[in-house]
Amino acid sequence: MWIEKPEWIYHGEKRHMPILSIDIQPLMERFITGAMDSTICVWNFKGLIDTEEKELKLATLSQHCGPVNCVRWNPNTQTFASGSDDKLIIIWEQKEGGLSDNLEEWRGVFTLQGHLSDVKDLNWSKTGKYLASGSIDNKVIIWNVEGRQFYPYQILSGHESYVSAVAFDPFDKYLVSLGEDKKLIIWNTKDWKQIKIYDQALSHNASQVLKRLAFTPDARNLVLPGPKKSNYKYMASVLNTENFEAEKYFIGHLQPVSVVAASPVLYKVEKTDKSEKTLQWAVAIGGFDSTISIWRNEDTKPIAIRDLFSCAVSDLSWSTDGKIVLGCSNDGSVAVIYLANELGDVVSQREMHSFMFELYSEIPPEPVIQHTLRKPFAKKLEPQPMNEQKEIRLQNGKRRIQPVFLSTPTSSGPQNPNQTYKPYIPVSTSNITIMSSPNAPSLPSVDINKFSFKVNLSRILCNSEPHNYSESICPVNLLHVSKLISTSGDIVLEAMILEMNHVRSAIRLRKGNKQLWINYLQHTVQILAGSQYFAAVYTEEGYLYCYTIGGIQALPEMKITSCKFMESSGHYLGILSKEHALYVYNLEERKEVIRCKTDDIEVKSLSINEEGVPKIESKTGEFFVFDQSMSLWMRIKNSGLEYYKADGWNPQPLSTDLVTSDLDSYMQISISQVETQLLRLKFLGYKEEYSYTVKKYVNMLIDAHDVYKLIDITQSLKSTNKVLFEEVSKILESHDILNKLMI
Amino acid sequence: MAAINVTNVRVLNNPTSFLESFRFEITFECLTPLQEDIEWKIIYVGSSNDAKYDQVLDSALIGPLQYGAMRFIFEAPGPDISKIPVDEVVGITAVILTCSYKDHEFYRIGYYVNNQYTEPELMENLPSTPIPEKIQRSILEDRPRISKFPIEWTNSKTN
Repeated sequence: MWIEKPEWIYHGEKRHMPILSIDIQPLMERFITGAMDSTICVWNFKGLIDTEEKELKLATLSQHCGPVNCVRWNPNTQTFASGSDDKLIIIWEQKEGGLSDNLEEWRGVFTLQGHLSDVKDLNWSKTGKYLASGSIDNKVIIWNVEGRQFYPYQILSGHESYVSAVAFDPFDKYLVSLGEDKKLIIWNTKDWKQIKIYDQALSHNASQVLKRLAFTPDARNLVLPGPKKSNYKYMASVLNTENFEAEKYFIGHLQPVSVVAASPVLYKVEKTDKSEKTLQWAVAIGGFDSTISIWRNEDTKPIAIRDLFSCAVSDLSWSTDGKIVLGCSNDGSVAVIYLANELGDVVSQREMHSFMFELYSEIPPEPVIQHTLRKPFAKKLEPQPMNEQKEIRLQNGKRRIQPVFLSTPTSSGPQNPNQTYKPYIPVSTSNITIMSSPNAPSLPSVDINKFSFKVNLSRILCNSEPHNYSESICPVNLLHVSKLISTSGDIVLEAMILEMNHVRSAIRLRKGNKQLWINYLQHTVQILAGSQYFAAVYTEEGYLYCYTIGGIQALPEMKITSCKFMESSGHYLGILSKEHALYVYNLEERKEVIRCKTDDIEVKSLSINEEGVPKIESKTGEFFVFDQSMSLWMRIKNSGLEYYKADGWNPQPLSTDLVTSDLDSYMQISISQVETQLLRLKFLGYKEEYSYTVKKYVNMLIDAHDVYKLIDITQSLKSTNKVLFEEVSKILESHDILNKLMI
Repeated sequence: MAAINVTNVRVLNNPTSFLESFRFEITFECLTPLQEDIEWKIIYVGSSNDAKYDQVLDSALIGPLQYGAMRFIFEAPGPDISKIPVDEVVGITAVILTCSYKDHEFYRIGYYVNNQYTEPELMENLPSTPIPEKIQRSILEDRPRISKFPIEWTNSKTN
């Protein structure tokens, strides 16, 4: 474990302004701080890990007109929100093009007006759909952020005094709000009604309006600043989320607890008797006594860092890998705590999901994180027509000045896009004694030469009741098999394999960032197929599941012996089995449309068109289409290059396209090639190309003076395609051949 | 959230004679297009005790504004000495540059101004009636006092 107070993190030029809020971006590329001087700074997270990193402060944003109380990243990591004493909440997005000296350009794209007074706390729902804000006007406002619209969706009244903290639970089922009236109100996110009020919440100094609370990532507990136990002993309460009653207390801070922040990961902790490993959560608690304590679920003693600041701790933030904690304070400084393995091994996300699934039969909603934070700067800067300042004097005596438009200064250019995140590797120098385990007896104080102060690691006593975990951990394989359904590319059918006891896999339909539905299956998904009407899943155990596009299972599971390829289009689903049999089903009418064999064709891929006609590609590069009436496979495309005699002299390679874009090049190709092409076009039903090719063919025949073929083609057209016949006759007339043919 | 962000103000002629015009070079950026004009004013504080001696030296309208960074030079004539109380001409006073949108002031930057005679004789014995030609005006450029006020901008696009 290692603690640092970087000197490069501060607000304000001359005086270090109190920093009121800090948040690490979920992607761990940046972190943001909000301060009392109304500015927000965006910092490079790498600067915390890499001492060589030069570009530390990425932007200073000063659009608020009052102290910025809270800054929070949207879980989709592209935007963040800031709330201030000026009653506004601004949503910030990154833009290209620098207008200022910032290394990165962040613009406030939305201003949320609605609170009547200082905005104290913000919390995004896990999917980024809602933003909750609490303010001194006693209200909690839920802002709906679907699409590009932000509007106050709900205004929740219920507190009789300032709302100091708001939080969504990991499943977005509850919203809790903490007020100065010592009430913790739990709201239901479905109908936004109050479910419960817990009122042994706060300690009693109303002036200290700096309280943050946190849900643990496994959604079992809610930890919040608690009441006073006795003089000089203040607590944080740990509530159980089932009945919202206090389960235990973390005692030990010498002054009231101001902030609680929960680590987003779970830790695998070995019990003292080394019997088993349990998964525990960890929270960091900061107090007015400028101490930060880190507790795990079953700890009776925390890791405590005392006197980290000269003032109260105002905010805490964990990195998504659970290894770094940032704390900021009213004394204007920021402390970084690097954890190695003191809390135990960090559990992978898959394990956490399977653990949550065991508990709740569902996994918490997650936004799809987009890794490109750089969006192309779509808006073009409209230049002013003037290059010089021009002035005119108006009739009322006022002056009008036309300023000089500056081209956007590219001071140091925008930061390089798509910074790849390197996983944090804890570094230990020889000077630091890393703690062996949190349950070890008290440690000697560590003198770390690098750092500006001596850190005194000591233990604080507390009495808490241990909680029993007995669930075992199952290994999880997250296999992503996905299928693009819509042509616009944003609707994707994805499958995940979760090897748990009774649920083997899950499939979900995702549109862009939004998960439309998710279904859990007792079998392991092997192949996916989908169209705009349905989604089909073939599982390893030999079952075919069909779901409507809305996610409801459309048909009972069908037993299919084997499946090598599965494709779909429109209402049709085609399956090629391992025994070379092909079946095409019309799912809407629940009928088998085609059943045939593909014996000697070695199939490379299968596709179905909207009318249910299957097309297979063989390993030799040939394409076959199944003709139902003849019950045979028709070859519609040859493999590779083939040579056809042109005039008996020069072999010409055949165009391998089914329909060449440049049909005029047919003039070079022999007539028999054209005939083959005509046949294919006719068979496949490409009408336009067919008529074009017919005309070309006729012209070729005219040039070649091939009267017999002309008679043939005109005769066949006469009986099959009247329109084309007319057109062909016109061509023949113009060439004065009509009489020769005596038609 | 302010639609206009003033990024830099420079005083171009400093120090200079009392009679000279004020010249400020102002750089600002406009974050959302504004239909109406913004109005810049230079105000000279004649007397620190009484606001009625404030002189609006000049005002200028700029608009309509597009997104982008802009710079202009704002020149205004020097103050009218007759409007300043006699005992306040020499000494410390202030000059204020303000910007308003739709008559609501959203930005104000003030500088202390020191008016002094340059000739040592006059510095010792202050003449009873001030001699403007001999007074040197120097604006304390490195200590501006900036105030930003939140106002209603146009609501159409951003909300």
